[in-house]
Amino acid sequence: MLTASRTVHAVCVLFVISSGFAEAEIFKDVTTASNLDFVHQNGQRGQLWLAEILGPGVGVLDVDDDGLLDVWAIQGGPLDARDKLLPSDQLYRNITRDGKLLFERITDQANVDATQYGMGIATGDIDLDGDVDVFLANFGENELWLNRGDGTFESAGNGKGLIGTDWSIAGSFADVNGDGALDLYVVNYVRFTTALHKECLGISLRSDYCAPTAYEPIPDQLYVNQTDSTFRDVSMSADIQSSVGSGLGVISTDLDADGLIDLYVANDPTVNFQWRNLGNGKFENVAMNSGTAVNGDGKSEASMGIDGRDFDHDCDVDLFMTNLTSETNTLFRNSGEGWFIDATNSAKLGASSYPYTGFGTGWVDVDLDGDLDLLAANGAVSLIANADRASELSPLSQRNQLWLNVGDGQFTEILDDEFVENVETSRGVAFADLDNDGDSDILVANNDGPLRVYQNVASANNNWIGLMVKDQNTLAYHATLSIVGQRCVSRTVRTDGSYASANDPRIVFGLGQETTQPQIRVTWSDDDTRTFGPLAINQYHVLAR
Amino acid sequence: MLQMKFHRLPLVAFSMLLALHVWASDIETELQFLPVELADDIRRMQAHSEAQLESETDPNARAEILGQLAFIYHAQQMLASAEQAYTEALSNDEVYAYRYLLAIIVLQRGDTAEAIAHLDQVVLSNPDYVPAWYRLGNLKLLQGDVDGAESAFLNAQRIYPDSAAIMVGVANVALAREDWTAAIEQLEKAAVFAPSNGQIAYKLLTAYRQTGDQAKVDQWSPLANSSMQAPPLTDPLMVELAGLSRSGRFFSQAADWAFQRGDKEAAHDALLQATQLEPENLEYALKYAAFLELTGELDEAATEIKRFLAIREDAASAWFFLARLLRDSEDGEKYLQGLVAVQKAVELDSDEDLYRTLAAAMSLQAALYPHAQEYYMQLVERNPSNPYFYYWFALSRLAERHCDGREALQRAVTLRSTWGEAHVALARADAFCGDLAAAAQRLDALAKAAADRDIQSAQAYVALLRGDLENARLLAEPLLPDPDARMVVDSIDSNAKPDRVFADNSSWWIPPELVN
Repeated sequence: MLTASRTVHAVCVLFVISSGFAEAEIFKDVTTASNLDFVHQNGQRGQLWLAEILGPGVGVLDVDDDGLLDVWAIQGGPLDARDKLLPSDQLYRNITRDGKLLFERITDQANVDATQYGMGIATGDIDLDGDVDVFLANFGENELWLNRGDGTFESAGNGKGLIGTDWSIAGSFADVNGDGALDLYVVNYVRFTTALHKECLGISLRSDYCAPTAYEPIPDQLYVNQTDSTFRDVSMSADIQSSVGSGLGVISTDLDADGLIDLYVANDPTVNFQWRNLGNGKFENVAMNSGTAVNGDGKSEASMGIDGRDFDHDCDVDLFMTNLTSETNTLFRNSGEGWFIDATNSAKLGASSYPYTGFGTGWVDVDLDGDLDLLAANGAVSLIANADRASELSPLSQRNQLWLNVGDGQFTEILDDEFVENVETSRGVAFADLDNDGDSDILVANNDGPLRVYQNVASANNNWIGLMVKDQNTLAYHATLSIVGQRCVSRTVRTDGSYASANDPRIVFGLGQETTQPQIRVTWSDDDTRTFGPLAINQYHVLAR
Repeated sequence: MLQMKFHRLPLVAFSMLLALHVWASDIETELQFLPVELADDIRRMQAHSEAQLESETDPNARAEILGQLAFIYHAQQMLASAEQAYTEALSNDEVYAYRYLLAIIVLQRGDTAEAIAHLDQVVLSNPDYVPAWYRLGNLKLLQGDVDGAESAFLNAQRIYPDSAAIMVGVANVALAREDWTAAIEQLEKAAVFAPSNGQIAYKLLTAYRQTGDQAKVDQWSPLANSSMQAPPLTDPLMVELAGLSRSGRFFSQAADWAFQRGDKEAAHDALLQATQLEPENLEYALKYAAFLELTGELDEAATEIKRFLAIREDAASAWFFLARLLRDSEDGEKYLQGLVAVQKAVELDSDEDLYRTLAAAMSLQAALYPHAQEYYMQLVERNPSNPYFYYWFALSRLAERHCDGREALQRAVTLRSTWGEAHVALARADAFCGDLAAAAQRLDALAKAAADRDIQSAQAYVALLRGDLENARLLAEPLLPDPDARMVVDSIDSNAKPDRVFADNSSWWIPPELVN
């Protein structure tokens, strides 16, 4: 039954939808029509275990090198009694035809049997054989799945030098030591098992999920690829374990423009880390000095998802992270002088994110107009926050959010959209052009719910150019691409970020109504720079050296 | 007109009862999470209000009844019920307090725009209610409405010019405009009123960094790493609301829950509420201070205890707590304050050995040996079978080079023959007082049982006093920079006999009560 206040709220929402936003719909939920039938199981049994509410992520990767991005769906399963038959992650082959998104499940054919309780995924060609391998961050032993190059995988389990057995959430592949092979940063959360579970109550006496501070945080790990497809844990010698937090999100990118790949870690709710790559195998946490450890009020926040791009075209990487209800998400604008400014409110991102707990997020040019828009997949972590709705919906479910970049460093929220209207407990989001039409579609991994695919239907009238950068036969991570003649229009090749997810490795520049064929400058991570083009628009190109 | 009002009365009453009935299911949903006794009390209040409303026709009185009911719900975090009741109250009469508290609830469910609309109305009906202006400023900033925020903060500042919280609000406006100079001006002023506030320090650091003033950045950095609570602003309506929430006990319990689930900020706020509601309550003051101590805010913890002692100077446990906070202070004045505090605690409660033990330990550390000896002697007399007090009485005597301390050490090892530390101390005391054979024999026996660094250090000390300098050096040097080993090596080098049982800066002189 609708109560009076809910009726008022609903009427207000309808009014806003009908009067305030004239934009065409951007994302359409095509989950059912695309045959994507994955449903996550979080293993909940009523005890309110912390681990049950934090997964899963989702990954995209071109398993069979057919030019279409396939989907790796992360599964949970039971959190206790794991001695019985366990559900596996699922792999879906993208068989999209004529713009109609379509998937078929190929888990068994691809030899994928990943039955650990999954959290996140990272993708990268760790053995430089030209195909994409998979790292799985688990609640339990992490795993490596090596792509055999024929559309199937073989498990390297927890071997190859990856020794993580704690609760990991996400990973990021980056060649941090410049030896040409992808190293791996693993974000760990807290020391929790069902045996260590604590009873936590909220202020209204209701049992609730504990905050992570109820448990001991686990240090993150940095593994260096020894170029023979094995890894060595260098966390101690690299000083990565000099700061310990409850990590959830990670990106690797050059934050201080010194040519070295840095790492940024979103911690919950402790201070975030900005690991500056010192170039000598060591990292220094400069977050407190650079202003990215805490928000503008000096408070650490419950950071979950993270992305870093130059949203304001001033030639440096800005940071955006999703946080807890009543904290607001946080936008750190890079001053270009070694520190960041909390620009959340001035960008008009404060009030709109205040009621929500965000997870998966990313800066994506959803309408191909040339600037980066923002998305956040939301879902609470506390029953109290949503107690008023507990009787109607899953008590953690919240709607998602999409903000369009309107220039001048500001965003406006879009409400009339199927992605936004869907009220679920969303966690990971993977951004990918699944139908190769230039615009980004999105995969949303819901906790204890369906994996959803939203097709972007907004940008048919705008032009674009899509680029995949290679180094010989493998993807050139952290190469930077820019459009020649346009100041500060550049992107870096990464698949990390969002929340526990792996994204499209290709770069797409939205061109709006511009029809001139652009030249593209590519700077590989070793500083080698080449210019390509003019290149035809509205199609993908492979730029290789 | 009167006629029409008369005819409308039954309809109003009926619709009101209907509304209360409709809420009933929501109210019951929220009541199920409260303790049974409390839930029953609220049901009784609700029934009483319904009965009053049946006969009450005056809109002002109706608003009062509904508003008070809303207060009760709100105080128990029954937010949906409270929101309904405030809304109904306001439909009868515009009361700024109900409007303000409704805004608080609306904000809690995340609707900043609606909260602003309510607060706009609050400041229209009561433009002197500073917390409304202050919240309005913060919400407008959140919305990116910098001009609106400035207007609200300046209205608040006009009424309450000395509030650090409002100064920070005005500074936030300047920060949003990237007007670093204006921000610094306000923040420096705020820092005068709230000198130990970490958030102000952090914002100052941020602003000075923008101006390139590295000296100022360095100045504010240490404080900027401490607690980030915003400077407090008294909010009478929220205090009143807290008062309705069944006293400080509710907040004390809420703090326990918040702490348990790891939400330290909520725990802090709840404990602060508890102490504000019942400022003379010893339990809440101690709990709040203990929380502050736990989160590393020692100065704030001491301030809280001092606040309490200003009201209740007869509370021995509070004096003891203050002493505990200050017991390892390197600031001589603070240490002395701690010593005075624990002496006061002993005076007020002479039966509590815990207090006397700390008093003895702090006296020993302050080199007030007669005081320490007196306290330890009392402890020995009160606990004649406890070797611990004999041991520390002995050390307090040996600290003054009195060899009669050996007797007490002997008593200690008699009472607990397996106490290795006491044996080592006794061996050193024997050696110091000339009984070198007994000392060596005791150490040999100890070394056979389990050799360790303490025994080796004592062996070096005995060897030194026996004149076996080569062996003394051989034993002492591997233990450097341990102070007792250093004392042996220095004695050999300077050809001077050590004048104490342990080195002056030896950890052996520090009673465990002083170790944090």
